[in-house]
Amino acid sequence: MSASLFPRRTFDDILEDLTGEGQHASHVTGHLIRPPRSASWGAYPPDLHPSLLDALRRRGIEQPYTHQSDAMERVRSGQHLVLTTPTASGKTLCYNVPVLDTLLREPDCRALYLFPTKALAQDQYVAFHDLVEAVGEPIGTFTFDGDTPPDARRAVRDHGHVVMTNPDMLHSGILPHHTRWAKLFENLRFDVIDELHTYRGIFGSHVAHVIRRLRRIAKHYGSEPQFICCSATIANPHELARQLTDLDMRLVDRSGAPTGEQNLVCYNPPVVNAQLGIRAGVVRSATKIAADLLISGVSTIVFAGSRLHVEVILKYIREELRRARLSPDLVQGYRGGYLPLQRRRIEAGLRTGEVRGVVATNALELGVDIGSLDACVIAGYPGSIASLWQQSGRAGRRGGRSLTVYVARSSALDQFLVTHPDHLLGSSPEHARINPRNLFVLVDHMKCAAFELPFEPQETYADLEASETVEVLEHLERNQVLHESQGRFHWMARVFPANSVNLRSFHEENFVVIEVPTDRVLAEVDFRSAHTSLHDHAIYNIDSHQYQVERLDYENHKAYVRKVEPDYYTTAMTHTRVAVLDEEDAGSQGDVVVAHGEVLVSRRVVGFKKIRFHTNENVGYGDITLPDQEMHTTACWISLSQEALDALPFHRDTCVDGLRALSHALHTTATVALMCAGQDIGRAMGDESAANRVGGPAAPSAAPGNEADFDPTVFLYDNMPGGVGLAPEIHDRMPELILSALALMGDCACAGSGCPTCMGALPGYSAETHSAARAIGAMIQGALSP
Amino acid sequence: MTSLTARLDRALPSSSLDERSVEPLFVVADATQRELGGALRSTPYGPCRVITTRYPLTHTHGDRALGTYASQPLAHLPQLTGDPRLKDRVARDALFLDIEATGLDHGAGTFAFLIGVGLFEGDSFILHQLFLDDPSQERAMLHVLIELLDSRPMLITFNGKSYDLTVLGSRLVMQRLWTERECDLKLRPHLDLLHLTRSLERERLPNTRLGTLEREILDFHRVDDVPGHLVPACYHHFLRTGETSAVEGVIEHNLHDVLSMVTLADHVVGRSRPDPRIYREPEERDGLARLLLRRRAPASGLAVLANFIQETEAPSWATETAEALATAAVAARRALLPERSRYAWERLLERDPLHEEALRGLIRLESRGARDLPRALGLARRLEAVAPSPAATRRVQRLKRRVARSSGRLPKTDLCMV
Repeated sequence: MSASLFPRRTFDDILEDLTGEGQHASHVTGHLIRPPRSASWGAYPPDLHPSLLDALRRRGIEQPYTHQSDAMERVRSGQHLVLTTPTASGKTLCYNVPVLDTLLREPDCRALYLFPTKALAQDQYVAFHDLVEAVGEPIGTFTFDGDTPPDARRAVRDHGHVVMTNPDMLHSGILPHHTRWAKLFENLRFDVIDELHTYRGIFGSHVAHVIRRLRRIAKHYGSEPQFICCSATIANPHELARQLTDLDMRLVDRSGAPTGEQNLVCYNPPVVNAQLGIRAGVVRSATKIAADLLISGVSTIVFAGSRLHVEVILKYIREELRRARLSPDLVQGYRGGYLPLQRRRIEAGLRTGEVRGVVATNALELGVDIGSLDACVIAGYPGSIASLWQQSGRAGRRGGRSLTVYVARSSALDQFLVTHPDHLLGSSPEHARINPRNLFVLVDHMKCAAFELPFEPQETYADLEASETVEVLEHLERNQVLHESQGRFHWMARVFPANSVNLRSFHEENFVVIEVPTDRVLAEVDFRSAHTSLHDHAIYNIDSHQYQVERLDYENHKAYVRKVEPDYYTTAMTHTRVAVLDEEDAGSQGDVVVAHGEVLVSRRVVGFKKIRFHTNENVGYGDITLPDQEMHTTACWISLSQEALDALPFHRDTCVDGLRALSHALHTTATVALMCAGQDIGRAMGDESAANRVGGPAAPSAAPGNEADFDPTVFLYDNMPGGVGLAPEIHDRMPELILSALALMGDCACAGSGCPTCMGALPGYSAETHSAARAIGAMIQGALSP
Repeated sequence: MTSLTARLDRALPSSSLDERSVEPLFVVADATQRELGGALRSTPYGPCRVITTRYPLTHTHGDRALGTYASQPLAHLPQLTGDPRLKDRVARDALFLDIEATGLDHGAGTFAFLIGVGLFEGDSFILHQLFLDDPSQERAMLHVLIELLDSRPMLITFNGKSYDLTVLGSRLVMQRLWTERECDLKLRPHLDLLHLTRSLERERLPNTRLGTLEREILDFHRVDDVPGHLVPACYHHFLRTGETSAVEGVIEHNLHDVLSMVTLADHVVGRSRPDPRIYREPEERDGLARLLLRRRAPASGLAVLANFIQETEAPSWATETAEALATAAVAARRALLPERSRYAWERLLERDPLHEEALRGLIRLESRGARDLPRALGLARRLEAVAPSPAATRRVQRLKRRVARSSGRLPKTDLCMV
């Protein structure tokens, strides 16, 4: 067998191809080798409960790693703790051991575990339950989520020493019914929060409030739980844990776990049209590499940026496998819209090896146990360095040599990163930002909190001062939601507030996709994506099958689709308009205004394009009429007066184009500097004139270039209702951002003709646009520097 | 930089918060603020308003006097409700309880602002209505409630199991008056009239809401009653404005609820006694029999039905009797009493050889465990003739094969050819 005529390529051959002199080598812009690291061992606490120690030893855990022993010590001394060590370094042991140790000594104690998803809670339940079995003591462990049958809920409440749940269930199923959980709250000793880094952005802001409410209820029952948080690698685990829990935390971040050799390769797809600077698509390139790996027998996971890309890549890889006479079922798709049972089946297939490859969205990024894979292909920057490392950690979880290939998209951010691999490979992962002061989130949760317990006189809520707390409470009373009596605020509405507060999005119900004529429910789509993916005539992709939307029942949140076999897919085009509601801070006055404040963003889906599979030709258009999506958020904006533009040696239209081009570069540099995902910051051009301010949403659409007396304005807005704090930061760092935007445009290889990397590529752009953009940039820079 | 209040008003205008805007407020136009009736009773936790009304036992509510209930024997209730703690209880042990609350769900934030408690004392029926002038008096109110609860060993409610007792239990925990275990009100001896009424009357009435029962059974007709779903809004209005007219209607509504519970208790306790001599409408009879069978009291259940069957066994074949037999058969099967079930089906088939349900029931019984396969096949053929369908044909085929196999005519391997 060894002397085969066509020897099967091995993992090493493929790595050599990419990093040595092989066929792909010229497209590799960076290669990072993380050397293997050996274990450093600590010791169990000397007085660990003997049956627990025995159980650990019998399970082959003779000795803990240093970070584990450190964490155990700190938990035992009563400190709130946040742990951040790499994937597969044994974080769960850090909390399971001290929690079990305490439960064995004090059987009345209770612990609450929070995981971001049901699937994770179920996984961890199995692991914890095994340990409890090994210890052999009756410690009740239960998961509690939407799937828990009503009969079992009572048992969980009465007999659960350890209850594993998710923030959504805590928010709507436990806290509002706390009287039934009195036993848990009276004895609550530990609160474990795993996958802390997922609680970021608006979701994190919500969860911060759920935790504040949890502490408020626990306090009512006379307990103050100790918090143990675990996070993947992010820049600010300590700060995030403090913000989420509103407590002083200790950080443990030095891992003692061994790792295998990790290879991370940055791959920029080849240029296929030098004249237009067009590169091969990310989908094609990622497919090629992943198919190579899979055909060579290397187990591989592919991460794609969108559900659509997952489906397209899956379809292409299956075609490659068929050509290689392999079963197309060796590779499976895995993403949010798949029904739970389908996902469990795929996870099981991965563990047993029946499934060798997976194409996933970041739903798989979290610690779902899928066993070890050898390689990871990341199709497009996942939006954060933390995610990149987390996804890459999926390869070689259990040691051994592993490979991660990051394939760059043609987007500005991707091209910036792939051509500056040091930035990607060398810099720290980003900050997880939350904003517990987000007004929408805050008010929603104060309603829930008032339902749970009346607000006492002088009580302060969350991050508010006593006087601010009263301001919000009085606002709610004016709106007849609360009733004040002797300084106490009581809930006074018929409805149950937690039901109308969704932690993961804003009051928006999912759309259901129904197949015609079978009436089968195929998937659920979140409210925002529904506008772009379920409009009439859209092609909806799932499991690499195509369905055409026959009718979107917008009122009832249903889309009726029929299976089709088109040679194209569709993408929607949107138009965004921003109106200023309140200017908070103007950094510069006169001809150039740089300010930030509250805005109303209206997004309209105006039409869609049909794109042919494989060739990516545009084969048609269609109109879409759907209601606008409105969002109240914060933004930073730069507004240029008519006079300022007149002073520049360009035609007015060129100036507007130049400003738009500059905004493109600013968006890229802001994304990099604030270390957030590209989609976290929205960008729009508009008119920031007085009329638009007062008129709000009713003001006429500001079409740049048509009206003589309009002050062209660039908005960079926080793409979440209420904002997570990006806009003030952009405002504060504007001088620095302008400088790097100018540098980006100056350095770019396209030499001023306009490309996605620097100022974007629109049909009307020319070298003159480039000059105008740089002139405007210089003008803004001048206005900002004193 | 604008103030927090201004930002709140802009970002969250009242329209986005006013969650009650969907319902028209049910308030009497008269905006007077007068003292509500009753007296303030003082407790260690402050005062609580208690409105007490005393009725002679001869007071009629609807078609009967309140006192009729007081002489009902309750001996059959433990069996009928499956609650052994009702053993040895007499009618006068009962405490009637009904609450009006600030919401319709039972999360921790929903609280009772009016608790109606009725009990028999000597030659009177006494109704205490505990009312919250202000949410801060809740602790005092619950204190009075506990005193009253402790004076009687048994509770009677209408849907209390899933609503009234849940809300009160939750509030007792909130106010830290009882620990969770002690305040599990549901562990007290309790007769929930809704469940019993539903078993008896479901088939006869469009629904078993209290209002329907009052009209259809108790002959009591309310005038200008506050609809239940507007009750929370009325109380909210009272708290905001102090207009007592908003809650006077609710207090009267609660009063009628409690009085109706007393006469309803008289009705269902009387009707549910499994005495075969009581004449019953077929629906009620079937309901009671089903309930008894479900409660594992097959003897009484079948007695209720069988006596009826015998009594009406006249030359004129009554559909009612057929239905009674069918009910008995199905109920007996559910109660895992196949022989009782067979008895009923056979009787039915004797009278009507083409009765589809009886045919199906007997085919199932005869073919299970291959008791009498040839007879099952014969019945299946008959059923196919009466009600032809592909399923019926398949059933005949299947039984044919089984008969053949058991008599050894058809080798097993041929089965896949069929």
